[in-house]
Amino acid sequence: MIEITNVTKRFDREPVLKNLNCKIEKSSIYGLVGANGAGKSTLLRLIMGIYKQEEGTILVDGVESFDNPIIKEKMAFVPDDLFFYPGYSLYDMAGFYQGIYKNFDMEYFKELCSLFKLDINRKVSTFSKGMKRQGALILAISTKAEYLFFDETFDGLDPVIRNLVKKIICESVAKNNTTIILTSHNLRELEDTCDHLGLLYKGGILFESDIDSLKTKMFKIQISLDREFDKEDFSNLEILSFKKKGSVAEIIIRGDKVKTKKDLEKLDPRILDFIPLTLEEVFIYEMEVLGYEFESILR
Amino acid sequence: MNSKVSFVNFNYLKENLKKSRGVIYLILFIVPIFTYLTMLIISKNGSGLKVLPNLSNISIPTIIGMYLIPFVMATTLFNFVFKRESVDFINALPMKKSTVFITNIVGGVLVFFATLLISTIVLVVSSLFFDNLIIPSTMYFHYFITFFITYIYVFIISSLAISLTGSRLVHVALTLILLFIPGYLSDFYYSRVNDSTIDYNYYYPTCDKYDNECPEYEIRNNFVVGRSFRLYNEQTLPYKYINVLPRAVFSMYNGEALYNYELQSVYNFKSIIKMIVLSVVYFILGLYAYINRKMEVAESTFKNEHVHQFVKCLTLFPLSLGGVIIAADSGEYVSTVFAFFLAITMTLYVVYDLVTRRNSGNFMKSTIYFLGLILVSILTFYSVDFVASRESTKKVLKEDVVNIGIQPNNSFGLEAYGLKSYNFNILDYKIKDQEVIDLIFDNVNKKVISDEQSTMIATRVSLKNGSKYYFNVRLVKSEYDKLINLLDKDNKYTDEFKYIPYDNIYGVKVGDSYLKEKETSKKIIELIKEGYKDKSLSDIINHTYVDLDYVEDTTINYLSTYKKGIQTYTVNSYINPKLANYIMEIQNKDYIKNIYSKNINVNRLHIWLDLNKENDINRELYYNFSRLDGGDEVIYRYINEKVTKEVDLSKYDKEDVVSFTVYYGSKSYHVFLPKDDSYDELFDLFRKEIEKADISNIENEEV
Repeated sequence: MIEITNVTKRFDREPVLKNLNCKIEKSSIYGLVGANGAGKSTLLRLIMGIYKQEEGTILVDGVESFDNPIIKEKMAFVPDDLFFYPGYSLYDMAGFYQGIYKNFDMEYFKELCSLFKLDINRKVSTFSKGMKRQGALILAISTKAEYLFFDETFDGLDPVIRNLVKKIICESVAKNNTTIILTSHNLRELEDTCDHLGLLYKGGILFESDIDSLKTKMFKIQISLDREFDKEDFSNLEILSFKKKGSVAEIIIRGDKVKTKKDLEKLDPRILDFIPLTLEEVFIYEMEVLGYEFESILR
Repeated sequence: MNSKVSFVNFNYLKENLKKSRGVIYLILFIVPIFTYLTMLIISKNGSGLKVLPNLSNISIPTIIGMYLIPFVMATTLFNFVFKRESVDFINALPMKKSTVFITNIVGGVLVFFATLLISTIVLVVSSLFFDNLIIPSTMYFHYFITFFITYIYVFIISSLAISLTGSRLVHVALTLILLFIPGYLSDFYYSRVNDSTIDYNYYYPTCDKYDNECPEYEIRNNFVVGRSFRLYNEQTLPYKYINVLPRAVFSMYNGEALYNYELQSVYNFKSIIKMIVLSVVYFILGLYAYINRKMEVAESTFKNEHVHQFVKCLTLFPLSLGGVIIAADSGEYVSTVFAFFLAITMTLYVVYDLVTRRNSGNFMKSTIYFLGLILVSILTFYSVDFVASRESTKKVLKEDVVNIGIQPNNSFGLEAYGLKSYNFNILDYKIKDQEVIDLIFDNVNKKVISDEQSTMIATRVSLKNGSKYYFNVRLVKSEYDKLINLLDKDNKYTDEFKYIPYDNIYGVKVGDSYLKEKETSKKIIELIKEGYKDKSLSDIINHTYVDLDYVEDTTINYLSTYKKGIQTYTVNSYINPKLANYIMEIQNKDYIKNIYSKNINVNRLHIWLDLNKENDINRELYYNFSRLDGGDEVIYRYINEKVTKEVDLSKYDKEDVVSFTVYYGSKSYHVFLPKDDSYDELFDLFRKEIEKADISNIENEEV
C-alpha cells in the first residue's frame, strides 16, 4: 500500500504539491488525472524516491522509498520522457535491468517483445517514439516489480498497442498482485483500465474514488411521463442534473440503481432508459457538485 | 552481501563502464600512444647521444591529460545528472545514492589505473627500444603513482562539482575553481609576502670601493626564494604545472633544454600527500553533496539563487583579485587600470549568467554580489599586503636562532633556479655551534668590497618560534677560511657535505655527454668514492669548488641521481688524480675514435683551446693565430700528434694540463694534453706566424 500524508513539494519556492494526502491500495490500478502542471509527474517521482518532499511522508509498504533500494527493488517507473543508454539495443537494456533488478524475467521480456513485435537487437535510438514507449513499458513490467508507475504511458501509442498494453497491465495485476499508478490528462485513457481514480488539482487530490462505485452510483436516465412533470416530481432522488426537452427529461442521479429504478417505475413512465455515463461525465457532475468547473480542472 | 545496499554495485559499474566504452577506449590508448611519441621525440632530439629525460619530459602527454581525462571521465560517468530523463532513470533504480556516487568513483579509478598502467608499460618498453634514453626504474614508479593520484584527485574534484550543479558550464567553472583557487590564493599570499622583502635577497652586502657611502645591509627575514620554491613544489600537480606546461611542451618538441622544467618537480611527496588528503576531503564532500543533491536541479545551475551568485563570484574572483593587484601596482594609473578591470569583470559577470542561465538573472541580487566580489577582492589584497608589510619589518635576531644550516660553496646564492644544481640538503644539516652562528651574524652587516676575494655562502636559520629563513652572506677570504675551519671540526657535517647517494646514480656525464658504458660509469663512481674517502671539509672545498658560471673545466663529472627527483652532483675529477687521469683518458679516446681515426677534414671542425689556464699574452696569441688562414690546421695537426701518445696526465698539476674542444657537427670532443715543451713551441710558432702575417700584410698594403 502507498500512503501519502501531508506531502508538500516546492520548486523554486513555488509549491507544486501542497499537503497532499492519498492512499493507494495494494493490487489496484490507480489513475491519476490532472491538467498539465498539476503535479502528477512530481507525485510519481516522489513516490519513486527520485525527488524528496519538503514536508510530509510517503510510505510504500510502510517504509520511505527515498534512497531505499530495498523498496525500490519492488518498484519500476516509466516516466514521460524516456531514457535509454546511447547505442543500446532493447536486449542490452534488458541485460542492464537484469543486473540491477534481481527479479527481472528475461524470458517474459522476450515473450513481450515478440508480442509487441519489437526487434530486441535493434538499437533503441532507431525506434519510433511509440516503440520506445513500448520498450520501456516491457522493461518495467519484466522487472516483476510489485509497484509500477506509468507517467502518460499511452501517449504516442496507436489504439491496437494501447489495448495490448492495457491488457498486459491488467494481467500483471491479476497474476502478480501488482499495484499500478497511471497518470494522464485524459480521463478516457484511464476509464477502462483503472479501478481507482484521483483528480489532482492545484497540488492536492481534489477528488478520489473507485471507478465502479462512481459508475454504479451515478447514472443518467431518460424519462417521459404521461403527464406534465418537473424536477419536483423526483424529490426523493439525489438529482445532480435535470434537463427537459419537450416531454423527455435527461436526469443525472446519484444513488442505488435498483432502488432508483423501482422508485421511478412507480411513476409509470412512458419511457425509462438507463444510459451509462462516461467517466468524464461522472467527473463533470461530481465537479459541479463540488463547485468546480470541470473544463478548468483538466485543461 | 546484497549489492543494493553495498558501497559499490558491480552490475551498475559494469554497465556504466560498458555504456562509456567509447570514451574509455579513447582514454586507454590516447595517453600511451602520445607517451610513446614523446619518447620517440626525446630520443631523436638526443641525436644518438645518451639522454636522461626527467619525469616531466616523459610525462608531458600525461600532464596534458590530467587536465582533460579525469574531467571527461567524470562527465561521462555522471552524465545522467545533466538531463532530467536520465536523472529519473538512474534514481529510479534500486540503488542508494551513495552507491551510485561511489560506484562511479570506483569506475573512474579503475579506468585511470588501467590507463596509467598501460602508459607505464609503454614507457618501460619504449625506453628499452630507444637505447639512448636512460630512465631509472624508480622514475617509472613515480610516474605511475604521481599521475594515478593526480588523475583521481582531478576526477574527484570534477565529481564534487557535478554533485553541486546540473549545468555543464557551471560544472566546468566549479572544477576550475576547486583546482586552482586554493593554490592561487596561497601563491598570492606567499608571493606577496616574499615580494615585499625579496629585494634584500638580491642586494648582496657588497659595494664598490670607490663608493663614498656603502649602504649598510641588515638581515631581513623572508628570504623565501628558496622557501617559496619549496612551497610551490608542494602545491598540487595540476596547479603547479599550469604555468609551465605550454613552455615545457613547446621547448621539448623543439628539442630545447629539457631539464629546466624539472624545477616544477612532477614527483613531490608532500604534493602527493596533499592531493591524497584533498581527494579524501573532496570525496566526502562530493558524497555528501550527491546524497543531498536535489535531483530536480538537472539542466539548471543551482536551485538556490544565492548559491548561483556565490559560485559566479568565486569563478570571477581570480580575475577580480588580479585586477586589484595590477591596479594597486600601477602607480598613478591606479584608477584607470582599476576601471578597466572593473569593466572586464562586470562584462564577464553578465556573460556568465547569459551562458549558464540564458538570462541576465536577478538584477538586484547580481548587483549586490558584484559589489561584494569587488569588496572582498580589495579586502583580500590589502589584508595580505598588511601582513607583507609587517613581515618585511621583522628582524632576525641572533638570540632567537636555534640552529643554522650552511652551504659553503654557493656561487649563485639562493636563487630558485639554481637550487637543484647544488647539494641543497646540506642546508638542512643543523649546526648549533655558537661560534658559527656568531660568525655568520657578524658578517651579515659587514661591507665587502667588490674586488676583494670573497665567497657567497647560503644559509638557513631556524628560530625559536619554528620559522625558517634563507639568506645569502658574502664572506671575505679570511672569514670564509675561519668558517671552513669551524665546520671542519664537525665530522658529521663533512660526511653530510660529501654525501652522494651512490646507489641512486643512473647517469654519469663526462664532458658533454652521458656515458653509455656501464663499466666505465662504475669505475668513475669507485674513483670518486676513493677520492672523497678521508678527505677533510677544506680538502673537499678546495677540490670541489666549482664556479658553475664558468663550467669550462671539462674534467668535471656530473652524477645524476634519482631518488625523489633528479639531483645532479658536480664532482671535480681532481678530487682523485687517478680519476682525473681516467676522465681525460676517456675523452681523449673518444676523440681518437670519432675524429682522429676517421681523419675528419679540418674544415668541418671548429677547434677551441680552454684559455682559462693561459696568461693574457698566450690568449691573444692563440686568438690571433686561430684567425689566420691555416691556423686551425696547425692546431689540429698538433693535437693529433700528441693525443695518440700515452701520457699519465695524473702526474701533472691541474694547471699544467690543457684542454682543446673540437666541435664536429652538433657534438663536441675534449682533448687533454700536457703543457710540455712542445706546447711552448706551439706558442712560439703562433708568435712567428702572426709576425709573418703582419709583415706580409704590410707588404701587401705597400704593393
